Amino acid sequence: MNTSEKGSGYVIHEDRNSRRSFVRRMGLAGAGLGAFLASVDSSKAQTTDADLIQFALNLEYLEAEFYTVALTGKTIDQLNVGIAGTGTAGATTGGKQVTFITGSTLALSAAEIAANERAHVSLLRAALNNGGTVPIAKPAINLNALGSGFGSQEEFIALARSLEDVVVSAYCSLLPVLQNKAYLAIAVRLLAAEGEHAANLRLHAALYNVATTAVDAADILPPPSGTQFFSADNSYGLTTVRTPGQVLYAAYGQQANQTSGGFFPAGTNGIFNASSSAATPLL
Amino acid sequence: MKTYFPLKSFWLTLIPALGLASVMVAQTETLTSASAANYRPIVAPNSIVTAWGTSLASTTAAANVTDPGPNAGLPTSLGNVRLAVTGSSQIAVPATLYLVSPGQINYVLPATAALGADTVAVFSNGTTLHGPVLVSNISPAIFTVDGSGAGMPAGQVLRVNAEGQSTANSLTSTTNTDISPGNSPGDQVYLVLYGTGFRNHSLNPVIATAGGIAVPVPYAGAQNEFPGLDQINLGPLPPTLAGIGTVNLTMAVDGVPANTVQITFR
Repeated sequence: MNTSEKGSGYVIHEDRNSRRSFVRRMGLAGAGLGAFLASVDSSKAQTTDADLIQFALNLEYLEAEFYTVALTGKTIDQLNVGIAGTGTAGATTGGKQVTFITGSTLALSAAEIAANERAHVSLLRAALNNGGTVPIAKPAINLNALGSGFGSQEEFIALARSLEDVVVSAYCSLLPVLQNKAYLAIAVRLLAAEGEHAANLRLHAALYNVATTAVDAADILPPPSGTQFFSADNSYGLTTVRTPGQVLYAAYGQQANQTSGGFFPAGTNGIFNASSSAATPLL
Repeated sequence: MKTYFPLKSFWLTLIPALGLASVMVAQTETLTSASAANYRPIVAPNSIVTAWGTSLASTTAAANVTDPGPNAGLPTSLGNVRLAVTGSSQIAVPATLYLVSPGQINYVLPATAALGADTVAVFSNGTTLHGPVLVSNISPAIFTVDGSGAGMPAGQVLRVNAEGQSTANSLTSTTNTDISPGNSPGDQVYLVLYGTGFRNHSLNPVIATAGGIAVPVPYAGAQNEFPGLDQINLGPLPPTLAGIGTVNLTMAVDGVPANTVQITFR
């Protein structure tokens, strides 16, 4: 029988149409990425891969501090994670150790994620150093930016879910423009790790019946507030992409055109420190 | 799947265990709440909770639960004491009471209690005491015979013979009840255990093990006679448990473990 050839032809034909359609449908994301690159070109002479990794490091600092304080009541420097570097160093304020049910999948997952995030900080700092760039210092971080996140397991899940989904979307915007293979090899695995974290927390949100709040219109909420266990768009099965400006919109407390606020009261370190308007959903 | 429910009278024997707890709980707050079964600080809506404090009541009074039913007629005021739980909505929801005493109150956390960090208020003889309570959808706990949260679980062993006739015996700390499976050909042996905090579980299977051996869980949910009381049925127990001796019995609901209890198979 010749069904396999027919099948192949059909698939190829569909793929071509899908790709055209996909590119058209990615207009918003493409525009977002274009705007991101344009802003980089106009405001800075050259944006290097190291700048992109430094931006990621800001986010990893935030995640590492959040989980570490929630799990241990200590900050990452108290656990001997390096935080010194270029830019303006700042203290981490707010947050406290969360009461978990010992041995629960949530508690065990949170502990693993905390260790992962601390390792991510160290990994990115080492990668930058190996590439001849001094890593940024940990900027000031306010873990009480939302006034929630540490009072209960449910608050923890809600905030962790937001952070993970936003960080995943950040890596999705950074990876396509990375040229350095060494950075890319690390960043793609970081994206995978953050994706696993996000999925875990989204499932726990559903299991614990935790209401969640969208950080922007692109945010796809898990049950019970939403309907999707995964944040992937149902049309293409792809997760949301947020440019650095859109990420900072969420991190700065849903404030556009700001250079500080929310979780980063003194702003981020590195060249990406201005928030843009909120991310919009793929159409 | 057939569900076996316990004898009504059995739970009544547990009421003393649900009375004044002998367990010491660190009291850094004016009012400290924890699961009445395992003293874990995180409790579930519609579960039985114990609050400790001082001068909570001028006398000891227990609710009349001799005529149990879906609501069991539990009062919201007992011995001139009331208790309310306030969540993020700032709406105070009155709780039903099993027992009040100067140092302890046993209450049922309202089904509508908000998830997260709530506040408990005790109104007693013109004074109000406040304390925190952490509320999570699932916080499984198993009552134990001695009320400590460890050791022999509170429950019954149910033996069903080949003709479908069943006999039930209570698990006690002093009686060496024969709960070994497979003593008589055709017998099926079940454990019916009582706890609280797991009726809100998802459709995911409840996981239970005895001595590391997986045990079927045909039912885990509300006991349906006493407010806040949950029940888990385990079995039929696998024959491999026969003669294994004293082993840990574990249970996990939606990834949240209950207190580990011990049981002896001979």
